[in-house]
Amino acid sequence: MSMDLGTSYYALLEIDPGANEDDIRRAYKRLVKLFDAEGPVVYGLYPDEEVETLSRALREAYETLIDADKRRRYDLGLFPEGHPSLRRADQREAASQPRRRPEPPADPLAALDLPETTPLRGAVLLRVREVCHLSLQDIAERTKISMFTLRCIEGEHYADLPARVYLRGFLRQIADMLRLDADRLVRDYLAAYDDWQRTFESKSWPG
Amino acid sequence: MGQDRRHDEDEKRMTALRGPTTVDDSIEDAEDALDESAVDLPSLAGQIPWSDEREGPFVVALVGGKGGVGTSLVAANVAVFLSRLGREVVVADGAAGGANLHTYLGVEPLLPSPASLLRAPGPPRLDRVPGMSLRLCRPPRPIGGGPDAPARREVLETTLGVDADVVVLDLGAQADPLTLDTFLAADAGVMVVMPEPAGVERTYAFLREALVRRLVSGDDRPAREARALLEADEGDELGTPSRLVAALAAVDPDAADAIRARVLAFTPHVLLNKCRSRADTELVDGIVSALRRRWGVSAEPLGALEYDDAAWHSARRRRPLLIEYPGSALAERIERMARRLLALAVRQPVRDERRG
Repeated sequence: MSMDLGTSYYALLEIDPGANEDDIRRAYKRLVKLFDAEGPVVYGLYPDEEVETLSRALREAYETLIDADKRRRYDLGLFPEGHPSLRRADQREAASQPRRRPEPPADPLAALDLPETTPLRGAVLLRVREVCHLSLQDIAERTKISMFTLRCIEGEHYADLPARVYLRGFLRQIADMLRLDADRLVRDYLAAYDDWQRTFESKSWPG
Repeated sequence: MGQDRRHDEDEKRMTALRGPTTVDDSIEDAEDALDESAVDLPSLAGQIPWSDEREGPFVVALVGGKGGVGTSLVAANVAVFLSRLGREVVVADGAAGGANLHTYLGVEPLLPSPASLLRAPGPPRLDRVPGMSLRLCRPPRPIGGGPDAPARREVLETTLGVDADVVVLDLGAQADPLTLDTFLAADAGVMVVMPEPAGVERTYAFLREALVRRLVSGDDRPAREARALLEADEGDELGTPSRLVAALAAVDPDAADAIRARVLAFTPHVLLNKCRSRADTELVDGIVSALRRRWGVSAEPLGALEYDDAAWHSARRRRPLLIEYPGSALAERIERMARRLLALAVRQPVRDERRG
């Protein structure tokens, strides 16, 4: 029966074996407050000496679990083969670790086996990004360029791109991440952008 | 002047909480409206599932840790809410000595003549609450006598014999055998507790008696052996169920298993009332935790109701809180708590298996 709560420090503190330090601290603080000898919870249920025993047990559980070394030793004794919820916690921790990526090639353009003269524009940027095992999200997180703008750059949706001065800066950041020659990317991409700009202006304001 | 202004502001606030069934401020108008307004609230029928396979009513028994904790207010309003769900409900006034549930339901008081007080009291009264699928069963005289008065027993027996979906029993604040047995036999036994030491202590006292009665009353072998051990325990060594089970295991392991199962199947519900602070509301978890640690009893927290002037105002108007102030925080909390109780009714087959 649960009168045997004292057999496990986790049960004593009413926490899961996968609980982190914050959970342990919060649980201990809450229980110390609830089971205060002067509080109403124990009044009429616990004799004074048993309130003191409970208080000592709570403190012992807290001091063991809050100390990483003591907790490891305690867990080994309590769950020799690893508690399921501890294993789940390990899996969660592993899932929260950054994913290991394959190392990108030193020269992505060479890896793509493209002719030297191929202009660096949207479609090539997409292929280079893929060979470097990077997602648009990865680039957005690192460079702080919005996903929308990155899609527009790769898709060559010039009408939706920011002003030229900003675009130049973005292209340099992308070149840095994709291990490309930044001057060449800026030159090739902006040449295509300027072509579109001229065509757009000639259509909009003829003469 | 300042007092008048405060009073006016208070009135305005309560009027805002009153919701759709507004009643004029004068007492005469309020009394006139008693018979008419109870039907104004929309039915909630069909909103919550109900097990039609149930045999007999779902019985909720409410006991107060001590007098004045609000058991009658809670019982009346839980009954009103369940009847609004389309269930046929009977609520029993089983508080010894001072039956006043009718006041919280807007039902007229009984005014026995002096001559009738000299005659035998007669059977309990069963009155329908105007405009609701709700009936009130109460003793034929307002002062029904002590806990073991025959009139009280008759009220409870009559109520449990009525054809209804739900029975709500207001058992008052005593711990006599009739109250304990009725509480233990209910589908949901609810302790209404006030967040202060005397109230909590009385709650433990009641639950202690109920638990011991559950373990040792009866004529089966485990009960007989447990009773014999407790009767021989002059030094009060067997102060907790775990010690009793351990002592019993040494002489009869099967009986010890049976007693352990009875402890685990004892699942009283704890409802805190008149909470004034966050620390008060947290007390319900503390009580549940303490019962589990000390006795191994799996009490279930039913929630915490905050202190609300709306309760006092609705009592003054002699109308159910849920109808007079449906928009109040207290009314919402009571509804939420009643929904939890209903969830028990739906999953009752599981509970029945556990009890067996």
